[in-house]
Amino acid sequence: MEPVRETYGMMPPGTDIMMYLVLAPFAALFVYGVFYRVRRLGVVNTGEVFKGLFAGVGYLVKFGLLQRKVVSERLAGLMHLLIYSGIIALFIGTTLVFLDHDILRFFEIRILRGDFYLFYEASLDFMGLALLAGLGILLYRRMVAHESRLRPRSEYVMVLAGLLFIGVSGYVLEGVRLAVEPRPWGGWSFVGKALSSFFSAAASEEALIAVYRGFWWSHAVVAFAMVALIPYSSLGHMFSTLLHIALNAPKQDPLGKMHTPFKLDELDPSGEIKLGFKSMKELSWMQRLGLEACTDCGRCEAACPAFAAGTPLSPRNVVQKLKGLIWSEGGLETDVFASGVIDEEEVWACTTCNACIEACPVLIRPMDYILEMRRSLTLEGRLDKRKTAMLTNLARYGNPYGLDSSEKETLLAELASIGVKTVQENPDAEYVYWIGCASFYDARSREIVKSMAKILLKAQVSFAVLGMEESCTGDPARRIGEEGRFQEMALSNVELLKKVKARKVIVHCPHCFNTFRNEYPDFGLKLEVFHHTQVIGELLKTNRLKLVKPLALKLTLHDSCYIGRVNGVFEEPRQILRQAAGGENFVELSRRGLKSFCCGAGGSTYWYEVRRSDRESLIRLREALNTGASVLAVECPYCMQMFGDAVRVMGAEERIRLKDIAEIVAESI
Amino acid sequence: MPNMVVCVKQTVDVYQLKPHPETQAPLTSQAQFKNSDFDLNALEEAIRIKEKHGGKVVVVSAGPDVKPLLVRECLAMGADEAYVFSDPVMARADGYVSAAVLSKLIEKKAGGWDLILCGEASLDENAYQTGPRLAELFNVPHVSYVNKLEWLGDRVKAWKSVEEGVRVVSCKTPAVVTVGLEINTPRLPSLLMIRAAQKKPLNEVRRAELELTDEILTPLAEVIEVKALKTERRRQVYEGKPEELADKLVETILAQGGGKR
Repeated sequence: MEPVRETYGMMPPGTDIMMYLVLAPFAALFVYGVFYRVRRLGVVNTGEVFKGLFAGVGYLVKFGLLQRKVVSERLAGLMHLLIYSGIIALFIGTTLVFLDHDILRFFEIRILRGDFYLFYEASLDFMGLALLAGLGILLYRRMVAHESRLRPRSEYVMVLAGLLFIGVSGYVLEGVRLAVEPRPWGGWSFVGKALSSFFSAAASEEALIAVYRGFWWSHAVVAFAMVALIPYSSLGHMFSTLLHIALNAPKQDPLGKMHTPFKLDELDPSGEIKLGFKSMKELSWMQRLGLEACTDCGRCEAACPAFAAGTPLSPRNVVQKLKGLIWSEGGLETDVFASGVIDEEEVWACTTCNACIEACPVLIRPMDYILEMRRSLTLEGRLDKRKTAMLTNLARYGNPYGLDSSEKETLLAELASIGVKTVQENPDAEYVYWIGCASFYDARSREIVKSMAKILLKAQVSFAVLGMEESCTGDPARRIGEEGRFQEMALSNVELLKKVKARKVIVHCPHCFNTFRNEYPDFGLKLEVFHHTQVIGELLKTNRLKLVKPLALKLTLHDSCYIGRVNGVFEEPRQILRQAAGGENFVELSRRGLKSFCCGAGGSTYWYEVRRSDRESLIRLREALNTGASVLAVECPYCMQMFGDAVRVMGAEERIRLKDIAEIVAESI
Repeated sequence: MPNMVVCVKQTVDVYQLKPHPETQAPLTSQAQFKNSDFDLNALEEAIRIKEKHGGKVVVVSAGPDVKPLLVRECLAMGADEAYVFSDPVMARADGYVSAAVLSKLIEKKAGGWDLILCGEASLDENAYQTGPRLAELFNVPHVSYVNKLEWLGDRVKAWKSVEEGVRVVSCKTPAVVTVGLEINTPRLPSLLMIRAAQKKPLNEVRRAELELTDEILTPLAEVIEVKALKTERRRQVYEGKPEELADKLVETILAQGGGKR
């Protein structure tokens, strides 16, 4: 006898018709829900959606189907993978039954038969276990481990109960069926088979048939209900995330580049001025879709330095609150600040470290929404004294410190005395060394330039500095939301760099580096930009620089956000430090590379205060102290200043010293 | 709906002012100009009243070289129009001249008004004269050193700082109010707003239009010399146990005449 799927076995005749009748209202609810959500989102052109889906198919495969970022967190990733693959397998299984019984049967074709059917039974039993295991991890995370970032919601109970019931009742049905009508191939349904012996011992055949019918219907109705629930519950994320990944991800700017909303030199001064957003109706439906895709998983919150430092900001809350507005009565028109939905401090607390973007499993960019809201506040001048002072300083003095540019002369004189030339003195220099405001105006950071100049001179690199003509890149203006001021500064810098025919630029400030590399191309300047660690790394590799006095100290490295996570420079700093201190003396911080933790100075937050209970720099310094390293190597002058303060606050001057990578190298040549 | 006039003076940025190394005279030729801090507080307060109660905000400014860009900043903050008297004769102006010129500017150009707001003093001269003098010229009440202000229709209620306390007063309008730095944080107009303010009227007014007599333009006070105060620290360092050092420090401070009220 050939093994074959016996659909509606043990059910009275006519069950199939009944089932379709029962299914109809659930299907209608589902379809209505989908249309409602799509309409509410504001999708106007569905053709555009399908074209976008097609264009985003690569992203769909990588981040949707293969869950590349979901699995980056071990336990949560495993949980999701198990539930996700279990549900998909069971869905495919049920679809095959539908094809087999309700379509192909009429053409006298059966697919669920023979060896394929045996494989089918075994895999579905296996995948059902995967589903239950995944749900087990879910229960563990919520009820045993109590992961603090997981929030309870009543709908989750319903969804969880539904999924559990579908999984368990499926096995019960299989077990009862095999108990009442044993089949020689029953062993392939290994879970059902194991249950069947228990069932046949436990109850009479009549009782079992009654139980079977009850379970059959409840299994079916719960499954239908779960489908109908999709557009009305968190289950909807299976569509919203995929749609977001396909439509938005391919169009996202590279990390480190803020969207350019207008061009100052092409702007019509009499036109309407709009920048950023204060209400959901100002967002495009694609941007709203990016909020809609949020599953409240909390990974961004767990990664957020501002959240860890006890500021009012949680990127997850921002996204969830904005998402909530899409669905609430009158929410689209609500002014997020006036209504109190968003506290201005939340928006100001962001250090623009990009950790939330890196953490999001479905490619949402919480930081982008935060920065767009900043733009709307800054446009109206809703800034406190310190933010105002910083912007005024940029406008008046060309630097955020508000120091007179004559202060630069001190450093320039020192550099000239060791043989550093300006572009006027050496117009043919291969590299322009952009010093950056921190090193011009902050005494500690001046040591970085001096060390780097020493290295470049020693290695006979052809370089020149801009001298008195250098001014701020405009990064703090752009990150605080003053786009006009940023562009004004960018345009003047672009002109200056073009005038001196700069093609290759060395910078040691990651924020200047990022601005040159990612922001200035929009304003007509393409440069080859090198972080000083890249330059030193190359000099060491090509033996133009030799480290003769190795540093016999244990050291660790703090990856800066804008060199590491945002611009992907991880290797060179490590290579240099291993060479300078010896591989065995270099220890890693627990959070490093893409998962590095911001010092708390980025996104112009260096220039103002936000209410908080802790400091990013202190949290990070504690981590560094825990490694037992006596030197914390940094690659950014602002990290240096933040940790410098942290060391003083913690009184750790004796335990750890701060050095820029250039300083470590300059000491060893 | 109040019609308000705000007097805004453009001054050198005294925080950036450097003295000549020998004469100690401030190097004003290199100095940057800005709107006087207190006056921006006055303007911000006027804009806030307008946002709450409606009305109109007119900025008036008089000086030897009034910079249009700085006036645009006032317009970008939310003022509706500006009248500017830019004339070299103002270089010598004191509170007497400034108040007289501003009163003419207001009377002849700004039209009817319910409230004049000024900074309590200017950033550069700190004379505290102009506001009260304006009130005298117009023969209306004035409240100075105000750190909180409410518009009540035909009256204003003002919280004014006095030594060791706050006095709450109210007076009928029209009136003149001078405000301090604590009253608010002036908004910073973004570059786009400054650009958009090009559309708002910025009116230059000539000497003839104001019928300014020589008498009005002659200052009562004469500036003889301006010098930077040079204070040298004594730079004394004591070493030893903190307990003993504390005593020594107190002794030294008292010996130098410190610690007295």
